[in-house]
Amino acid sequence: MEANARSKEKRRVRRVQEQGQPREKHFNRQVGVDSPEVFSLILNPDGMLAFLRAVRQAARRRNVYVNLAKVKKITPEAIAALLAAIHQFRKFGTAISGNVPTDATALKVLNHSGFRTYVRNSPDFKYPTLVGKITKRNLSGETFQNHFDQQLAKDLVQFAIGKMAESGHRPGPSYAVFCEAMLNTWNHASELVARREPWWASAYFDAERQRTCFTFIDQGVGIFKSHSLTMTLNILVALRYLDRGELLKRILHGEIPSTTRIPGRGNGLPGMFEHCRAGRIRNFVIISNNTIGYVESNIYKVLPSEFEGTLLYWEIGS
Amino acid sequence: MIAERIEINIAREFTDTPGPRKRSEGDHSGEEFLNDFLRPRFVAARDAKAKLCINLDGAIGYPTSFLEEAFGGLARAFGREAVEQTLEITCNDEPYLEEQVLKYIRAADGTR
Repeated sequence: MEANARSKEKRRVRRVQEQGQPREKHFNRQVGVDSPEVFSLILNPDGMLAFLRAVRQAARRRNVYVNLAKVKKITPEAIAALLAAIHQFRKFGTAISGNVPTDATALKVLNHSGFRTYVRNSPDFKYPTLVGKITKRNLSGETFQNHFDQQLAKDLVQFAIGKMAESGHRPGPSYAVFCEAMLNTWNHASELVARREPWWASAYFDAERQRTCFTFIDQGVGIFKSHSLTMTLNILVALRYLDRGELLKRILHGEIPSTTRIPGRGNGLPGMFEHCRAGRIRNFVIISNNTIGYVESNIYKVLPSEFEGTLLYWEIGS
Repeated sequence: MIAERIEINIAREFTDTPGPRKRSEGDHSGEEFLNDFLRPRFVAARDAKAKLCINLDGAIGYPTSFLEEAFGGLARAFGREAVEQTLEITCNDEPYLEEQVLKYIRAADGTR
């Protein structure tokens, strides 16, 4: 019975995604979901994934009120993830509303991140000078020949350059990382060849730490469902001699060849690892499916919940 | 008269926003750069026994797929030795890119 319901839901979601149209019928009832105090995928992945799962489950049958009031700490990659989730559910007719953190610092980060650009604000809300910029590549109006959008990546990097002008820091390989992430999303993130996943990207300047924080998120199938592993690795994973954390590490280290098996391919993630190892990007974190990798500190873990898609986070600066 | 140096500044002559690997994936791809710019000038430089100087400065960045397709692709077509003898890479903005390009040229040689 449960499997039937899941299958029905999957077909409905796929139909909406393929048609790109929102549901006509809207929900009447609303349910509240409390956010964790540490609203951060990199600092509190377990709490954030549990929160996103709760929002996802609620959004299938009800409108959702996201209660951010108790948030004490908020980081830019979690804001981008929240926006991605909000827009994903809106497509299905779910209305998502909410409040803001009562903590002044957390509120400031939220308001200055670019989040307000994408949500309906109260009439008296005044836009602050943004230190963050969030951009979205969606399916509407997209043509087949115009799907790799380096202009959006350039805009974010130039935004960062503008914010870092005083400190003289360069954006390093951030543009390259965005481009490789877009290509991975385009080529691997969708279950359907004819359909491509939208992605979200953001840049946020943390003046206190003099760092720009970059995020890229797609809501595709994730690395482990798109990366066809070799027979040996499949057996090792199935026998639990090797977990996904170790597997992510090996992919980043370039020890697992590209799925295409074409010479010269598969440099994207290993290239990002190399940038991190050489200190060109800092605090590089990757979350995909139920796995997180803190690349700089060489920590790779399996998480209790799934992140739907792939998230890349890195910093540039002092 | 034989030119001793032929130069390409990618940002000035091609684009300051290098794109994906293949033409089918988007604008300003590595494949487009290889076929429309790099290959003909490489042949001209090689035949004239001149150096082909590639300046990477001025671009917002270079995706690894772009660089591999362009320079790895050149080595796959003409061989590592010929490419290394003819090509000279400079990048003051991000000096590590010089080594990255050479790495793709070396790695591509064994896959001809």
